[in-house]
Amino acid sequence: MAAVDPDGGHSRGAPIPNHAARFSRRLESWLLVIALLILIAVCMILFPQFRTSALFIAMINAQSLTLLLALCATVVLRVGDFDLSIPQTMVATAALVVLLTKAGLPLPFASAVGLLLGLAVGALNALLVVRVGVDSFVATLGSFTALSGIAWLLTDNRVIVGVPPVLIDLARGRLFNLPLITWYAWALMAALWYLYEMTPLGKYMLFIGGNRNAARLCGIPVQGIRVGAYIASGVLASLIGILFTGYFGAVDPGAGSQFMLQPFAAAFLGATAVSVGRFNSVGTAVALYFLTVGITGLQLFGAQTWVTNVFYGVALMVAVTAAKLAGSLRR
Amino acid sequence: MALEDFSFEVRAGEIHALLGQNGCGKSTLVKSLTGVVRPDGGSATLFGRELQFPITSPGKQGIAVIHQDVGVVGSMTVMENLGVVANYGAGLLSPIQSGSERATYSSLMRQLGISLDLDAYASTLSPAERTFLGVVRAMRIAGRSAQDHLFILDEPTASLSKPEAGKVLQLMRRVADLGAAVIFISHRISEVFQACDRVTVMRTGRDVAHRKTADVSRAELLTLMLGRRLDDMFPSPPDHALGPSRIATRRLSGRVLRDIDLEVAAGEVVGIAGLAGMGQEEMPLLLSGAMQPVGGGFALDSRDVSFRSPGDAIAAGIALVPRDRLRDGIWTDGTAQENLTLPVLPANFMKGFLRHARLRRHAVETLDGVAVYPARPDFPMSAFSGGNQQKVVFAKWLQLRPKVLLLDEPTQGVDPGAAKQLLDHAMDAAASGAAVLILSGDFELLAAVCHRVLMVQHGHIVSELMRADLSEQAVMDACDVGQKAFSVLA
Repeated sequence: MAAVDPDGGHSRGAPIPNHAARFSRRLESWLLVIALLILIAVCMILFPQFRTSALFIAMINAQSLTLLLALCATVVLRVGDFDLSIPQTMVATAALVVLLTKAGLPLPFASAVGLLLGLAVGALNALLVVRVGVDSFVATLGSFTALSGIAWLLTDNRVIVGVPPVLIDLARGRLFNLPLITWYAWALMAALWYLYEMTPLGKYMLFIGGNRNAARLCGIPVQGIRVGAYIASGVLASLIGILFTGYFGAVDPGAGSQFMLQPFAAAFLGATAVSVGRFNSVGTAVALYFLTVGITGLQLFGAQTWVTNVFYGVALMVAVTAAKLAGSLRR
Repeated sequence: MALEDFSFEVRAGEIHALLGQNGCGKSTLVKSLTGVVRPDGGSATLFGRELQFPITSPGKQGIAVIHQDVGVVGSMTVMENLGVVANYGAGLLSPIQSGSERATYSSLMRQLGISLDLDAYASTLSPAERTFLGVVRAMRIAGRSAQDHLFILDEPTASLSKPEAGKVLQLMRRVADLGAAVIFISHRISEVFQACDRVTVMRTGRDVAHRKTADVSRAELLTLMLGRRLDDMFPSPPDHALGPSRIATRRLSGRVLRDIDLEVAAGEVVGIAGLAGMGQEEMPLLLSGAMQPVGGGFALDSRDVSFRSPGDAIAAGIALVPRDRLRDGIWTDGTAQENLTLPVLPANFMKGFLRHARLRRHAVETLDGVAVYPARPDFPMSAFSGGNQQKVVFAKWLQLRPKVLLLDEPTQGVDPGAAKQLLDHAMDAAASGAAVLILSGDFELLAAVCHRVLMVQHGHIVSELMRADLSEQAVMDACDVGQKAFSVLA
């Protein structure tokens, strides 16, 4: 060991460094991946359907939109705030874009307007939370609710059909037998991984989420990054909204609340994996697939559809509790 | 095992000091006495009564602890904060009898010789008054009478200025005179000599010495605490010719500070002293871009500058070690490496990727260089003692070779061994040409390490002591004299 401790070898709480401690710390971060692999193995043993690639492809595709939303959620979560308006920004943008194209506006312009909506929502959230200092949970819950009202207004409370074929191909076109939307989700995961792990901005975001005061005094442009996070979140949610139209081929204005729980559950569960206690992209994906495999297994077992939310809720509670306990044991 | 064969004896009516480095077992001892931790063996008697371990309700047993962080809710009144530990004198759902509550507290405060406005909001209390609140609250739990009770004060004066600390020490004396036994835990050896009758020194979980304070010297206590000689408690400032003016303020004003004109040269160590609330706390914030001046300005290397954010100041070569380490200095859940390498991340971002291996190597070297123990960059900051945390903060800034080093209470919550190392680093920075500005309530520290010390009263610089005239007493007198002058005017 390098330095001799003038304290006499008893620093508060620091465990004596050894290989076992380092190994168990690494183990903790890969726990969710291991859990996922074990779960898949168990399901493959129990259910013949799990031994077909068709089921895996179906599961992955069904979750692509949720994965996109979950990844989008990690951006603002990482800087220590909430953005609950994401699912509703998605739906409102989807409705807006389809209605504009049906009214005759060329698709690129309609999409641009849709993205502007996302920008506006992000800017409004940023104004309330960063400038005024309103609690982010409450403020974005407010924008979520306002946006759902706007979606109802735009669609006159009806499901809108008539999505331009271009958008449908954009989401459902196939590449190596997987729909494009799945590839977009993976691409976003990789892009966010790069941002979070490989750039100073990703580290600054972590610091802001960890201790905003200290981050500011260390020279990090805290307000700027927080505003940027909300705007990025809003624009990203709009982009997902455009994909939403092609994915479903129709826009149901009431769909927003269905996509509320799952993305955030995956993001929080993912924060316990890979980089423990920190919102990250790969962990979020692993968490989402873990939850999906679990639910599919339960459904094959004969469980009813309500089991989905129960499973999500319980898995989330168990995981974050375990992560918290593991964290405090480490200290 | 954090404690081993620990035995000591505290007498009624005495203030007994417990001295020891961080990690020596003091907090484990306190936790054992308050039931948080269960000792593996041994026994304890309190005023003749044998204590049963684990201690289930320390209050009923006659043991009360006042922690450094008294646990006060600023938006509630003093009376509401006092009554919280005793169910406000009523059952859980029964109505609170505010009349009898007031009477109880008034009589307790009379006994102790203090007075607090029961209806004032706790946020208006000074730090010393918060400690008073803690003591009154503790007396309430102990059953309203100090006799046959043990009061443990855990670093009550750590964040207090000298005069405020004096008031707390007086209160401790009152409590002891009422018949209680008082254990006083502190890093400030001068206070131990000032207020305590006897002292026990702990080291690595054992009691290594019991002495009467009258019979022991400071050097001896330090040697006992550290297990080796510490020749000088504080380093001296570099003895060299001073360079050109590094930082010069011109009628700088903040919310409390008014028209401050001060100048620090390259290689100079200047101290700032003042009672709490006198405005000197704004100085480091104004100079580092954390707070915008209300008036006036300052120059860096003889060129006028104005910083809109801490980032601007850091880029210009100014480093601030903030007062409240946990709130403003570190990210406790982050690793030592993450905290340490934050300012140099852009320099390690090459060809589009953060160089993690390089960052780790840099972190290991730097941690070793400032003798952080353990030198493990992957440990979270919460795993390090206060002294080691502060070393990480120092290292974070010193690696940038700042032109100006602003230290706000740098040794607060830091054990003496680590404090000396930190101040050595500050002196080294001065020797290489940095201008160092130190704010501290530890007048002995200021007298030892500064070339000169400025006194701040009600937002103004009222006096200056040059090295030849510097001593702890001189600084204290300078603060008091100013205070008397103002109280005559008021």
